[in-house]
Amino acid sequence: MSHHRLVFDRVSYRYPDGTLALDGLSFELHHGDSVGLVGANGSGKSTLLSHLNGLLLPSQGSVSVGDLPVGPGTLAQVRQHVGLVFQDPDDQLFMPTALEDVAFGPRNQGMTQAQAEAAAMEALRSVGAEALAARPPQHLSLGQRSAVAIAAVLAGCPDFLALDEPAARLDPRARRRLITLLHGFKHSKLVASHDLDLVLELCPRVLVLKEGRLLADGDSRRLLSDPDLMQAAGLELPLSVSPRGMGAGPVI
Amino acid sequence: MNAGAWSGLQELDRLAAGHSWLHRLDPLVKLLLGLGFAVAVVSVPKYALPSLAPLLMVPVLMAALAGFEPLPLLARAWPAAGVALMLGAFNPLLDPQRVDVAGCQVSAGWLSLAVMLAKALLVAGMALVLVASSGFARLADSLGSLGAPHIFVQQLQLLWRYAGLLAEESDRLKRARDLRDPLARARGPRLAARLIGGLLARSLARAERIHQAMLCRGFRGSLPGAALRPWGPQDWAALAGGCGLIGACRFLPLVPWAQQALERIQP
Amino acid sequence: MHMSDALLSLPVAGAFLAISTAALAFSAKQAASDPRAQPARMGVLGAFVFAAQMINFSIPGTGSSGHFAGGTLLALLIGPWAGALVIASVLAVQALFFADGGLLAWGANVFNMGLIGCLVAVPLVYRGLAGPAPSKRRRRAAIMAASLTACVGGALAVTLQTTASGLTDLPFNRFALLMIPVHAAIGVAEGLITIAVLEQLPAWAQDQGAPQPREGRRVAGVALTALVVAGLVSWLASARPDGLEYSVARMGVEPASLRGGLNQRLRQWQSQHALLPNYDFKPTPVASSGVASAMAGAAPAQPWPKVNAGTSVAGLGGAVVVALLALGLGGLASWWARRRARA
Repeated sequence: MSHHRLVFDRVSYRYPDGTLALDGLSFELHHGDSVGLVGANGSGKSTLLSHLNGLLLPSQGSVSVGDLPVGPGTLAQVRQHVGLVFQDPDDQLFMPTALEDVAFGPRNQGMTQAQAEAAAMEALRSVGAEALAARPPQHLSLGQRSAVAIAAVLAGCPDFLALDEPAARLDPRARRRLITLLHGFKHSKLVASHDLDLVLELCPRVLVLKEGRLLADGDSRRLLSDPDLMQAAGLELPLSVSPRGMGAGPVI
Repeated sequence: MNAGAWSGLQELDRLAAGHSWLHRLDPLVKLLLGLGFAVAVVSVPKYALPSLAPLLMVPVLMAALAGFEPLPLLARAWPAAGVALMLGAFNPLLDPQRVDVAGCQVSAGWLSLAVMLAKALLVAGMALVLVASSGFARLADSLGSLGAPHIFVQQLQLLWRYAGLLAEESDRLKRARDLRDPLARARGPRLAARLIGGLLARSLARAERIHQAMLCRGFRGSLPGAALRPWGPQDWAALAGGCGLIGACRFLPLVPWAQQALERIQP
Repeated sequence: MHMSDALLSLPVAGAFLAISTAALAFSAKQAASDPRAQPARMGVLGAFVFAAQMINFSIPGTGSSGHFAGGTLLALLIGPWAGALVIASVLAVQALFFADGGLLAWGANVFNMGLIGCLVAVPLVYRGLAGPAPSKRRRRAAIMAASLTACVGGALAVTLQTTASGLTDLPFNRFALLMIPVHAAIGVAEGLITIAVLEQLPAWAQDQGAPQPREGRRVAGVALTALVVAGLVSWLASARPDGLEYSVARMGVEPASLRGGLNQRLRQWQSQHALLPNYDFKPTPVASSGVASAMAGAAPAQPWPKVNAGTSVAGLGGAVVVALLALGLGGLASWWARRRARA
C-alpha cells in the first residue's frame, strides 16, 4: 500500500537561531520496518522525529508519507498516517481521564463520541491499560502513563509509529512490559532511544545519527557491535554485546 | 500554599471516587445547591447570628450523606476565617451599639464578627463538601452545562491537570533554594524572581510541547467537552429537597421554636 | 487579598458576580479569535500561577512574606482576554479548594484581581505608556505603572465592596488609607518581579499582548473620558437630590403611580440596600453659605459644589461599575444569543 512508505530526501533543517540540526538526511522506511534511531545528545534525533509529521518543516529537501508530501496543506492527513509518541507522557495526556485522552485522536478524525470511545477502549486493551480508562492521568504511575500515551497515539490507527525515548523513565519491569508490547505491534516503527539494548531487541535495522548527518543505516546487530562506529557516533557498545556485559573491563 | 497542600487537594479529589447517594447525583445539582446555600448565608443580616445556626445543618447533612468525616473537612475550611477575622476584628472596637449577652453588656461588634466568621466557615465548608463529592473535573463540566463558555471549562480542566505537575517543579526549586541556604539569607524577591522566571520558561516550553501533541492528534482549536447525561428523577428530587431544606433553615424561625421548646421543658 | 462571602452583602456580591460573568463571557468571545489564546498555553500558565505563588519571599525591610500574583504578567504573555479567563480559573480553584474567597465572592475577586489587572491596567495603562514598540526602559516603566494600577485598583475595589456591604464597621476613609499604601508597595514589588521574570525570556517572547493601536487608543479614550466626566460631574451633581426625585418633590404631589404598598417597600428596600447611598461614604457637614441658603427652599441645605474626596472616589467607582456593566450587557446579550443557537 502506498501509504506505507516514508521517505526523507536530502532533508536539512536550520533552527531560527542558525544552528544546523539536520544536514542532508536521506533514508526510506517501508511497511513493516522496525527501525531504531540512535545518536548522542544533540545529534538531531528529536528534530528528525519532528519532521515525520510536519511539526517541523525542512529548510531544504522534502519528506513524504506515501504519495503525500509533508507540507502546510497536508498536515492533517499526514498526521493520520504517522503517530508520534513523545518523551514525556505528561505532555501528551492532557484530558481529564485516560479514556478521553485516548479518544481525542479518533474524535478529531470525525468519529462520534460512541465510536471514538470504542476505538479508545480497543487501543487501551492493546496496551493492557483498559482498567485505567476512567482514571485521571495525574493519578497514574509513570509506566501506566507511558502505556496510555502509546494507546492515545495508536487509537488514531497510524501506519507509522514513531517513539521518542519510550523507555527513558521506566523501571526495569515497566521497560520489559514496553518491549514486549512493542514487539507485538505490527505497525512500522521508528524508535529513537539511548537504550541501545532495547534497540537491539526491537529493531533489526538502525539509523546512526551524528551532528545531524546519517553516519550509518543498516543491520542493527552489525552496526551496534562496531566499536569504531559507536565511538565515532559518541556512543558505546550495547551491554548485551560488549565484553563488559560479561564482567570484563571498559571496551572503548 | 506548598506542595504538601497540593497533595492534600488531590486527596480531596480522590474522595470524589466514592459511591454514596450524594456522589451519584449530577454535579450540577450540587453546584446549584452550593450557590443557593451561599445566597442564603450571605443574605443573613449583620447581627443575626441565630439565623445562621440552622444553616449549619445543610453542609453537615450533605457530608453525612456522602460518607465524609466532618472534622477533617471543617479543618480544611478554616483558612476562610482568615480574611473575615482580619477585617472583622475591628468591629468589636468600632461598633458603638451594645448588646446583652448572657447578662453582660458587650459591643455588638462581637456579634457581627461572629456572624462573619460563621458565614465564612459555612460557605467554605459547603464548597468543600460540594467538591469532594463531585470531583473537580465533573464539576467543571457541569459549569459548562450551566452556560459557562467552553473555553473557560477547558481552561479549568487543563489547569487542574497541570497544576500538580508544576507545583512539584516549583517545590523542587524552592527546596533547592532552601537547602543551599540554611541560614535563610537568600530569601529576597530577587532570587524568587529568578526561580519564577525559570519556572515560567519551563512552563512555556511544556505548553508548546503539549500544543504540539494536540496538533499531532488532529487538534482543531478546542478540546472536546464531556458528554453529560440528562438528569434523572433522583437529581430533581435532590434539587427540590435541597432547596426546601435551605429555605426552611433560612426562613423558618427554628431557633425561637427551639427556645420555646426549651422553656416548656424547663420553665 | 481575597474577598470572602462573609464580607459582602447580597446586592454587592450579586452585582459583581453579574459583572464578572458578563465580562468573562465577553472575554471568551474575544479570546476565541485570538491566536495567543492556545488552550495548552492558557492551561499551563494557570498552573504556573499556582506554582509561582508557592515561591514565597521575604519583603526586604518589613520581614513579612509575600508572593507573586501574576495578573499583569499573564496579560502581557497571552493578551488581556485570555489573561482574565486564566485568572478567573485560578480563583475558582482557590475558592473551591483552599477556602480562599467565598462562592458568591468569586465575582468580586475576579473583578478585583483579574478584570482590573487584565482588562484595565494592561490594555490602557501599559499600552498607553509603552506604545507599539517601546524601548526597554519605557517598557519597564509601563509595566511598573500597570502593576501599580492593578494592585491599587484592586485594593480600592476591595475597600469599596466591603464598605458598601456594611458588614464591617471600618469607615471608608480610614480603611482606604490603610489598604492603599500597603497595596501600592505590593504593586511596586509585583512590578519589579514581573519585569525581572519577563526579561528572562527571549526577546521575542516578552510582549505578546499588543492589540491593534487603533483599538487601544479608542478604548483608552472612552475610558479616560468616562472617568474624568464622572469625577467632575459627581462634584457638581451630588449636592442636589437625584434629578427625577428633585423634580417630583418640586411638584409637591406624588404621582399616583408612586403610591402603593409595594412601591413603599421597594423604596425602603432600595434605601436599605443602595450600593452607594447618597454617593458618599463620609457624613458631610451641613455648611451654611450664601449659595446654600439661596437654594434652601428647593433642596436640603448642603454646600455646593461638594468638594469632597469621598464623593469623587465613589463617583469614579460608580462610573467604572457602570462602564463595565455596559460592556458586560453587550457580552451577555451575545452569549445568550449563541446559547440559544446552540440549543
